[in-house]
Amino acid sequence: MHIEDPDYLEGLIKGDKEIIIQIYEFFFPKVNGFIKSNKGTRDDSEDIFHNALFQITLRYKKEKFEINTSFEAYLFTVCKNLWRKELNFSKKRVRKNPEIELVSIESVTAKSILEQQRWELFDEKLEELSPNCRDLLKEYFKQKSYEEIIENFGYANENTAFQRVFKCKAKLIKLIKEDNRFKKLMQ
Amino acid sequence: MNSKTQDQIEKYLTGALSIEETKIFELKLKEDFELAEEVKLYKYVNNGLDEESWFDTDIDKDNLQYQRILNLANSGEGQKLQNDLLEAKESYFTKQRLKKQRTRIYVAISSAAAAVIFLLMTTVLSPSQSSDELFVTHFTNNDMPSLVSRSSNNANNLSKGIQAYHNKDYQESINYFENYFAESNEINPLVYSYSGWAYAYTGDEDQAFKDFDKLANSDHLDSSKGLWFNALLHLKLNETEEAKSTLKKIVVDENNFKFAEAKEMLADLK
Repeated sequence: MHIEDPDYLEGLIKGDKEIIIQIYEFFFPKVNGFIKSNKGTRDDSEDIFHNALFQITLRYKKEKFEINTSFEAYLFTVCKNLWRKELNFSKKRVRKNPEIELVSIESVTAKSILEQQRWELFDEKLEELSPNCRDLLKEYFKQKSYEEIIENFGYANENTAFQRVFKCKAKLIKLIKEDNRFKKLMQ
Repeated sequence: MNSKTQDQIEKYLTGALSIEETKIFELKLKEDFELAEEVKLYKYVNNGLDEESWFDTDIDKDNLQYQRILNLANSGEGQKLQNDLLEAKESYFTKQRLKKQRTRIYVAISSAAAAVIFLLMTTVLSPSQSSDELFVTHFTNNDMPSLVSRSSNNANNLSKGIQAYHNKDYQESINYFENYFAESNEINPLVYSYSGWAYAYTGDEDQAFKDFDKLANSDHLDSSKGLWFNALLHLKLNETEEAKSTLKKIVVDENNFKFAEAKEMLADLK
């Protein structure tokens, strides 16, 4: 049986080996399944899972934060974001520079903590937009073409779609700029 | 920022401006600080939410938050956090591997005749097999340290050495590591983990043990990795008594790398 969620975070922060092993037992298989079905290997899953736990622990040590969803959902989001980043990075590496760049896990994690914080802030601000704007930008950021956007949202032409995306993005940027967390992230 | 300018930024970033318009816009960018900042912000938001370019962030190395997190990650506290996580990870996957091995053995036993069982018992449980099995179960490249590359020729020796090691070009990796050791003013002792295993794989076990000892005797926070690698190499060579002697050194301090595993291995080797 799973222990209560707060104990996972607490155990993780304290470096409680038993709790960390439980985290692996309960949550690693799901992450492994996700990564393996998205062009990854078992080794990739092990690395991503470890890095995600290190990221959460380090972030909490630097500044306490609350998890608004379940620990499992939060951990899964962090793993998904790390894997998405790794996939994009690998694509670019193959395209532009096949040489392996040697970077420390510490600097990668420091960067990924800020990226995760930024993603959470942007995601939260996206939810504050009107439903139409929110849905439109979600499609737009998923790299949907203007043809698809026109069809899905019933716009008259590409220019109308562009203007609508533009206005929604301006609103989103205004909301982000007004948030103090953004200023802190940009320091 | 008026909407015409915002419109231009959007078009500039999506490549919708003509070549001529792009040139004019970029000239403006150089002169207008406020505009440059706004473009940076648009890029930041695009990269933050765009699934294709999400990783390509503008977080620069001077960012105060980045520096603070990095300092924490590199501190003793940060390294301990990482070691705790690595130990738990290893325990979990070691248990998983042993579980799989046990399952395979049970299946084999249930379907074999008594004579085959006898054969299995005598081969699987013989001391030499047992040490080798322990080496295979416990040695993982995940335990090899991650090392920071800095822009110097010698960092190049280091990164190429590690790359050659991972490509299993052990002799080539040794050449790079020797250059690194010769040219370094201050050697990172963790590099001995790589050079040690590279020597071991090319058959120069004496030099491998020397390198692991150098790591074990250094004042690095992870120096006990040297003991662990020493024990594993003895196991690989079926030198069970020597392996036990090193494992005993590991279990005297619970902060040592692989403290729990060393205890379990000592019990298995009795």
